[in-house]
Amino acid sequence: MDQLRVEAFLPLTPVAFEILLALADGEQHGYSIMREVERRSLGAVVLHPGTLYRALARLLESGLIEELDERPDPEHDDQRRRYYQLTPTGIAVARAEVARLTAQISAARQRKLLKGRA
Amino acid sequence: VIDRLLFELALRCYPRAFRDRFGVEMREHFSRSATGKAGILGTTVLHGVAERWAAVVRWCFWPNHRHHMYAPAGRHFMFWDTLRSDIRFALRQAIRSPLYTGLAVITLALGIGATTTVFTAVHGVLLRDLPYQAPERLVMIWSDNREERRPRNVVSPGNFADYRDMNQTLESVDYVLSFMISLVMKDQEGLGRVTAVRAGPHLFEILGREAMLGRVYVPGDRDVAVVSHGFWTRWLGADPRAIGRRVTFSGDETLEIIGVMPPDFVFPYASMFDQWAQPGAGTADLWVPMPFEGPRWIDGAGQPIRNTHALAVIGRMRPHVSLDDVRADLARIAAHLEETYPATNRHWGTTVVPLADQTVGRVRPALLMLLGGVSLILLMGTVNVANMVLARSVTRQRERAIRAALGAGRWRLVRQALAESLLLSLAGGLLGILWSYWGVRGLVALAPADFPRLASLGVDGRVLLFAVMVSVATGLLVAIIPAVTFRRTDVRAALQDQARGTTAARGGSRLRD
Repeated sequence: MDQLRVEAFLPLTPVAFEILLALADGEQHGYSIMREVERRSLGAVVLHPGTLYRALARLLESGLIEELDERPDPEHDDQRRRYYQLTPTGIAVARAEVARLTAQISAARQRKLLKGRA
Repeated sequence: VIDRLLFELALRCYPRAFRDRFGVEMREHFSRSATGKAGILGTTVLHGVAERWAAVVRWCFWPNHRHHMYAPAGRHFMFWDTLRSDIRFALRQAIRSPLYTGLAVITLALGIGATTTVFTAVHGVLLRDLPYQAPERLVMIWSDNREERRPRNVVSPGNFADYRDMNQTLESVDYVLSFMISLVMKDQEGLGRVTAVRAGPHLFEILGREAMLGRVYVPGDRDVAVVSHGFWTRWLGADPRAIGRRVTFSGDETLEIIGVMPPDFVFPYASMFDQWAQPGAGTADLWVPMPFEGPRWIDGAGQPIRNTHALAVIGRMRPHVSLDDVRADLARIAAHLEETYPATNRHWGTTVVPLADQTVGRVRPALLMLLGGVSLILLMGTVNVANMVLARSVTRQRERAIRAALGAGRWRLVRQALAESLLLSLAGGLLGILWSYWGVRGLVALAPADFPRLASLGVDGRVLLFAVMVSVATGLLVAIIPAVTFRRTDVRAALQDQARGTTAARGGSRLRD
């Protein structure tokens, strides 16, 4: 993966990062992404449809996520649902973002803003 | 159903490509989350609309021409692009002639500001609900003194008791002593003068309000007081532990404070006591229950007194009962009393007035007339500005002719004019809202002291909406007159005529930018 191309996406917006995080476990549809984000943040982050789908549109367009052709769970299927998953670029960008955030956190540790070993 | 409709409307704010791609998902998302919790609708709709409009405005003024899958395309692109150029052109025109722009904006600001100021008063005094639960069911009951032509006479204890016991249309009814009592507080911090209202035990039940702290009094309570929010902050230091404190007043009356009312609670407004209110009594600080007993109420024979009138009577109508039903019901009782007690009740009837009418009925004509007056001022200002626009449009005939020659349709020219006048009127509206913010205070300061409900006036969402609507209407009105004249533009004649004229230089310079 072209490192320069990945860096062009950084830093990610908080919403985009939340979505990539939610998709890291596997494919999901729009509504379940929202649920996942809400659950993980204990209700602190709620993605309203307007925000969520605009962010999805942007991520789709820049190729960080893609739409699944086949449907993953036929039992609970709903024709209206579309499933999304991370692309290799998406994974690379998410990793790079995590690395960037980790660097920030260790910098914060060194400056005693955060407790723990530097 | 309304939720769904609003949601669909919000969806419309997104570009079509976006809607086609994500609309189905968003609808499903909405229908799932809407069942979950209330209030999601507001955020969803507002989110969609606000975000979309922010994007549009951003794109109008700082367009980025990078390709975007869901950017407006085709006809939509044309619409937004045209809007952007119209607004930019209107802005440039406005900046180029600051005197004209300033005059127009100030004229409109004065008109819109004055109208908004008076509307604030109309809204706050006449339109807003009184601070009680279901205030439309509250009525005041007076004795109608036909002999002395006083339809709103205070009521005697005996008549009150009969109204209470014999009526079939009121859920509950109770009395308020028709004058407020000034008490001196013997507090350790010195002497304070406060205003007390004495009323029957069901007062708070009728008004349907609860205390903010502690509780309101109920039948059976004695020597207690419910205090106003103002009293609580002024005399009790806003101390939550003040509940239960005993305060001694003049006449060695000791009252236990059992509750604090919310800040918006006012009872009574001076106008509720009609002519019986003493001037300058101010608002009540204490509500003290007054039992129906003692020599002022009941005579030696154990009968309630009928020849002393001192009570204002307030009642709550039963649900689904009309005012006319209550009037007929009480008229029947009054007729019965006239027969039974001719000595005291001959020529006495009843008058039933909705509480809202009682409170603000007297000032309604004055306020509405004032609103009419300032509306006329606004109209005059609008016509003046329209005149200015018209005068300018004569000198800009050549510009229009060139636009027409380049293929602008009439609608396109009207749109340009609309953008210019809406820009003026919205700028005027903004300034007017600012101005009305102070104007309202001036109005309050100038109004007579016993004018009801002025203390709680403020510019709120509904007033802002009104101001924006007035501004837009003004802008449309200003645009109409010049727009009508466009029809008479003869392109060729205008171009030939003006090419020789002195304004050609201006027209030319406009072309060059």
